[in-house]
Amino acid sequence: MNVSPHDPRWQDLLPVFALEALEGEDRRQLEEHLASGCATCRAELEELKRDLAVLAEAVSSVEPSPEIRQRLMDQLPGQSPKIVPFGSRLNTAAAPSATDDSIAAPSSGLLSVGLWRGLAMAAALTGVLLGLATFWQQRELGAVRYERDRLVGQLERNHGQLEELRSEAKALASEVSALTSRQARQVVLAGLEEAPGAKALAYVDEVQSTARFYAFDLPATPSGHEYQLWVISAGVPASAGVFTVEEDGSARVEISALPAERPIDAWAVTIEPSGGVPQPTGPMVLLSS
Amino acid sequence: MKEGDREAMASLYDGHASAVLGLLVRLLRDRAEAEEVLQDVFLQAWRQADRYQADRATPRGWLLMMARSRGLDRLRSRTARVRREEESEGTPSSPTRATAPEVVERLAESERTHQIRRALGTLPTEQRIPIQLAFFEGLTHTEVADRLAAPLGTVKSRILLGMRKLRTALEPYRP
Ligand SMILES: [Zn+2]
Repeated sequence: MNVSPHDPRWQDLLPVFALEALEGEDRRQLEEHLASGCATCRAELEELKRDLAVLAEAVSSVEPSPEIRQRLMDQLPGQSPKIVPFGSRLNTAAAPSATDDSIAAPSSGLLSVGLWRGLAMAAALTGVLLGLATFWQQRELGAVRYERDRLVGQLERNHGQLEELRSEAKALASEVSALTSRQARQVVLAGLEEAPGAKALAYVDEVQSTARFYAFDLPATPSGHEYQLWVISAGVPASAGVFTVEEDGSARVEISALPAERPIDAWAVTIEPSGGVPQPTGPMVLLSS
Repeated sequence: MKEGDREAMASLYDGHASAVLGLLVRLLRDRAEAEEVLQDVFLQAWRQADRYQADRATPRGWLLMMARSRGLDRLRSRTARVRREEESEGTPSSPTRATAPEVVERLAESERTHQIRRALGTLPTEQRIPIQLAFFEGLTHTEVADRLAAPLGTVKSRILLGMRKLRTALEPYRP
């Protein structure tokens, strides 16, 4: 057959043809042109098939029913596929159809060549699958495992973060409710000579006998020392806890049980030896007004 | 055939069956039929392993292209029948959608799949949609034109432009 003259129009139709979406007269003519052996179009078709073989991998997976695998393995012949005469092979159900060799041009002119080559090489089949599978499989398995580990790691990290966020959110929610509850009374503490820039707030829930204390702009304590918070009732200080400050000079103390017998007259913070003391001994840095 | 090849086949199946089934379900929109074709595809791979050329496609790409051809055959042989049924029923049969892949299955999808998907996503929508309809849903170019209510010529040229862009975008993932 003579090569029919190449026309740039064919090249424009090749992508649709490669997608097997071309129909009608266009398809018939292009098939004829390909069958005539135009090297330009055949090469381009090959390239398009390669692109599509990659694109196909964009598909989402669907897990097959488990019994399919066994059914498939049962159908595999135990021996090498028999090489049957060319003619009879065509009539068996196992005969590759024109669309079988999807990587090759779907032109019918190539079919017999592909089939012949396939049959001729069937004897050399042994090991091909193994090689094919092991090379790419190992490579892909590696990638999959890496990705799985990465995602699992991420999930675990996210899980940890989630837990953290959850407890943080819980704390915040309870803080907000404490801050906004009607019983909460706000006490302001101002910095004294030791820390003139410092300030603090205490939110006191008198019904629950609990309080939350927030301090800001406190200097770090000397080594071996901590801040100690005091509530003073009728001139007698009672410890409400010891604390250290964050790098930014802030601190937070939660007081779960305020002395309930007598009303609190004042709040104060002193610098004390680490661990705190029963009665204040060190310099006072914050005092409520 | 050596026992080793059966093992290779099993590992080929384990590595790619879910991707192949994913493509078939998308194409045929019928899980039972897709699973039938899935078996055929792997039997075909068994018979034609010698035709595989590593410089043309990855094993997965090779299997997927075989699956697409077989799926397309099925789709087109039933299209006339389904159309007749649809016409007689007056309403188009609702496609059986694939169940959403489980989180675990998503985990098994390789980075490569994500990257290829991302590459596809770089195409302008007007070029990407006709390619997706033709490639993954097996529509012919006239069906694509109908679906998008666009002239045939426009569909062809969008596919042409899209496939050109895709070649550049997919270049890093070609074998
Ligand atoms: Zn040509």
